[in-house]
Amino acid sequence: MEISRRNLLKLGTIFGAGSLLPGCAKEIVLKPKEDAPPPIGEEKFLRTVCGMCPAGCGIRVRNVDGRPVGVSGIADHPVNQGGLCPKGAAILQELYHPDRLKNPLARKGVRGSGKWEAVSWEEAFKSLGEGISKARANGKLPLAALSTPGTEDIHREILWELAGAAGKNNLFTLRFPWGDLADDAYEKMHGTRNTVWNLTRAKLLVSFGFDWLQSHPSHVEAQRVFAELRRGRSGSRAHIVQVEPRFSVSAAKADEWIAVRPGTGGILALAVARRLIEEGAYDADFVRAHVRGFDEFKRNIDSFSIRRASEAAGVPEETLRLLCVKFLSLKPAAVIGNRGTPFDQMAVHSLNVILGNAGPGKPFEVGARQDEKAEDDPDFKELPGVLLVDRVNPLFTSPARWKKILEEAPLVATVSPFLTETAMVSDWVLPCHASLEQSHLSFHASMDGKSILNAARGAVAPAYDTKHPGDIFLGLLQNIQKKNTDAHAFDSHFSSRLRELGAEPPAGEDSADIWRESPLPSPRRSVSVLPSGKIELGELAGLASSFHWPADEDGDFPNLLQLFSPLAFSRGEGAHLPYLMSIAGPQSAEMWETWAEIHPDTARKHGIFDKDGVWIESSRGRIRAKARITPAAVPGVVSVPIGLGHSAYGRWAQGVGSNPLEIAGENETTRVRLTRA
Amino acid sequence: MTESRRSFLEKCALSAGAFFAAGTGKLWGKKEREKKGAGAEGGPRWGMAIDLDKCTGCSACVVACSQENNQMLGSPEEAAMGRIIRWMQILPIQEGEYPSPRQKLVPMPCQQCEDPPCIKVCPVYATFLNEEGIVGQVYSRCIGCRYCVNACPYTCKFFTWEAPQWPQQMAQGLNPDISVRPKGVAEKCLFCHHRLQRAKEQASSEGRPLREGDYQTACVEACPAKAITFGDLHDKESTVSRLSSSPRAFHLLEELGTEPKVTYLKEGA
Amino acid sequence: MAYNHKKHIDLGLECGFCHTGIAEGKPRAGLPPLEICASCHSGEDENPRTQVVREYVSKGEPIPWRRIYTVPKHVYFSHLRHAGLAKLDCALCHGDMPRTEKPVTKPAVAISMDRCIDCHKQRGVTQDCLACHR
Repeated sequence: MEISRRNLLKLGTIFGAGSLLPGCAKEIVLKPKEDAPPPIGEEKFLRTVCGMCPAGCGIRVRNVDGRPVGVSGIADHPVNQGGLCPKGAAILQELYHPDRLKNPLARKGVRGSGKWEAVSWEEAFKSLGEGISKARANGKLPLAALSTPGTEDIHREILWELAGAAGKNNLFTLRFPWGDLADDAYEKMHGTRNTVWNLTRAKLLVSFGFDWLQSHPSHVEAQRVFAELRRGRSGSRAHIVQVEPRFSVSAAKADEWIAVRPGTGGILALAVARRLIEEGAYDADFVRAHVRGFDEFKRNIDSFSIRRASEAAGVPEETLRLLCVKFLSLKPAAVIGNRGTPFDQMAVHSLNVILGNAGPGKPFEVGARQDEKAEDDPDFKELPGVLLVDRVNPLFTSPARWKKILEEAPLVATVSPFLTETAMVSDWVLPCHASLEQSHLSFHASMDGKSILNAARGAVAPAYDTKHPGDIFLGLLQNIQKKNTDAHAFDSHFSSRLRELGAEPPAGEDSADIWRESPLPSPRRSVSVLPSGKIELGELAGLASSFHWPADEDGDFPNLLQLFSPLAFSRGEGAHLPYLMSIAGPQSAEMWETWAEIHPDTARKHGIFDKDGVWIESSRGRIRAKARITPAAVPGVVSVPIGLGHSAYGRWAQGVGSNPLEIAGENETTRVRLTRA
Repeated sequence: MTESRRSFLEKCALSAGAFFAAGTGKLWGKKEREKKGAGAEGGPRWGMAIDLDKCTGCSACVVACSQENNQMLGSPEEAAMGRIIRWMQILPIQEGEYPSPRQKLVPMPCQQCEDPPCIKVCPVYATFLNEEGIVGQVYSRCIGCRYCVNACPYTCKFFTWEAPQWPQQMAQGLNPDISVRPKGVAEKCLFCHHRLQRAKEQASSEGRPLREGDYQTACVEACPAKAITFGDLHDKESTVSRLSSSPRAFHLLEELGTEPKVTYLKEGA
Repeated sequence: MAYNHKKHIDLGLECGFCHTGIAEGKPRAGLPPLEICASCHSGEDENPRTQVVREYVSKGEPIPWRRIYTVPKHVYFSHLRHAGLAKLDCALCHGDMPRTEKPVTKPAVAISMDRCIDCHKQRGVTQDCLACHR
């Protein structure tokens, strides 16, 4: 019995008074408690790399008696410089999650029935290897691997090798438009996605629709860059403007929020570009030297007047003119956007082009890393023999597109530490280590343009029969190459790759450096790696000339849906960890539930009150959310967070909230109707 | 209940202009401290400065604090009742409306008042101001009357409505330096006092005094924007002392005379 | 196990030799791990009284010591601070162990908060609740 003041008082009441306790009870009360306090035994600090996202932060793990019990940032690591983001701070919850997969699983019964059988790794490799050979014999695409963008590490190297051994052009990445920079625009206009935004060089930072403080792919760096823009340089405080359909964290922290209708970022950017060109306020020398297709661009954006843009976006003309003045007076500027439609991305980036913000020493630089050759979002006209899903969850982040593919693919294998929605409809589930159990060998570019190599062992031995993702791909590779499976193949591969890179084998001890800075691989002095050596505006000019202006209000669906990606759930991951669930909406203290931000006027029209349940319905279906009426919302716009509404993914995520991606359109703005539930 | 107190706090803060007017930069009052006789002469006085100009409300501090201090996991039901306990939380304060609203995201640890309203109402001396200025809470002494929870104007004291539950695996990650609070007590931020104990022992076993930076709280350590500074307010050279007397400095609900040792630095140049 | 403290101390062992943690400056003093016992009680010994120890050592099984002194979970007690830094005599709390020949079955002194407070008062050291309660 736990003896506490409370229990003692209870006993006291039973026996009348403490002093009258009979001998036996006295013994219970006065005997020291048998259960010893948790031992503060052997304490060790180990250095490793955070694997909660691909940013590559260095972390220091506090191990007591061999168990990690705390985590902090490594002060001199160039990516995070001692800081952590909430996801990194929650890394122990991933490690100790009770619903982690403990061994490979094979489907039993029909797909998606949730019935599984524990199998050995050999069985899984054998069956997948057979699937690949069968497809090859039938002249089909043998294997397609779907992975996450932005990672360059040892497991991806092996994945490339596996993909190469199984066929060609079969490594794909899954887009998550809310959490990526405008990579498609950079590729089309500069010839590469491998670019660096050194935002601290900017005196004016304008974000079109990108809630960068919450959604930037490198969370720690984004917060640090913000602090530097604010107070890092004495006497030159940067001016920050947020153009967005939602009063986001980035909008709240900006100097000015320009509230716009969803889907109008590109229009506004081109209207500003047109005006700057008209006024002769662009960098004519830069454009002459480095830009192709400028004249056509100038001609084709003629219809993007400030007046027309102002009407389409619901922004006063005066606000837009003032923005032009800011561009004129604050240089250099940095104009960022997320990975929306190709038109929006390129239109936003065209401002950087005409203002001459790109090039060595400028806020935007190209070519710090090697090129990523994987293709995005395959449409699979021909389904592969084996679909290998590598730690992404397409059925959650892009359900409309992937439901059919996953239903029809002959053989699906998912690599994940958890039973995700995609894993649920797979034939094989291949559990990988939690990130603290994994070895890391990865390449990163920090936001200040440093090229970094991280190399570290895991902070703790694997608890279950799981494998490093690289080890899984190596096992599969060995199987299709008909080699004998070697249990230590991955370890020796890891060590030999380290030697090739000239890095010290990581000791894992507190003093050991887990990173080193490597000079940029042949730094490019130009602004573009296209054959012309110039920045290409031609394609954007084409899109601008054939642009369809947004149609008027749709009577059935009078409101617009605006999705956003909270930091806690970046890339659609995070709802499985309770500490992240509790920080979902810092702006409204919302947690553990999907909420919808609605302007009071809009709410009144539909008879909705604060904290009511509401149905948000689009032509694709409906979801339920908790209404939060806020005067900061844009009238007619309903803002809903992405990340909740899982039908699997562990006990804390499952069945909590709704997934707005189920009702959202792919590339267009989604129109919705609100009803009180 | 938490909700309404929260909004009351917002209103108070706004009407007093504490958030948007320039702070007075007043340090916690030395005179009053001497009058009350609290604090050993020459000993440290722990304080914190939070720069709202750098803070982005990212909530890394909230999660780092939860992990360090064995805080409850939470659930949709507890969230709906406002019973999720986070010693460090982000308080959103909004004013104005579309198209020009304004919002502050204020990280709220215990304000570590020099004249804490919570200790005056405790009938059993479970909460008190310790000799280094930290408002302590002894869980084994607390009888769970919740007087202090209601007395705190900053809503920084919490009542454990349920015994916290950890699945067996999850319990392995508990910080052994910190107890798991039982059901029915008040709990609060102690400025990671267990880290001070360890730091003091470390320093004295090395035969030296405690240096600036030896003792940092989990939230300070995690902050990616380096917006939180922690240290000794008695040491006039310390960064936290310097920041606490900045022209941008202000305290929450300053007019209540609680003299918090958490200083905020307002946004703007 | 019929452990004899006196015998070991008479052989010239310090408390911290077996109770690991004190000498290493750890907050927690531990019960002797098997390796410490094994460092003396290796196979060649014929003494029947130490037969039990040798069995544990040969099996590599940790000796099931019984912890007599505990503090509740909500109390922080550091041997580093008391024995290491303040150089308090172990006997203050643990009694005269160097002369104890029988295995200990109950604490030499009752470890209670009153006792802690009395000692802290006498020595003029901190009486801050937070110093011990966590």
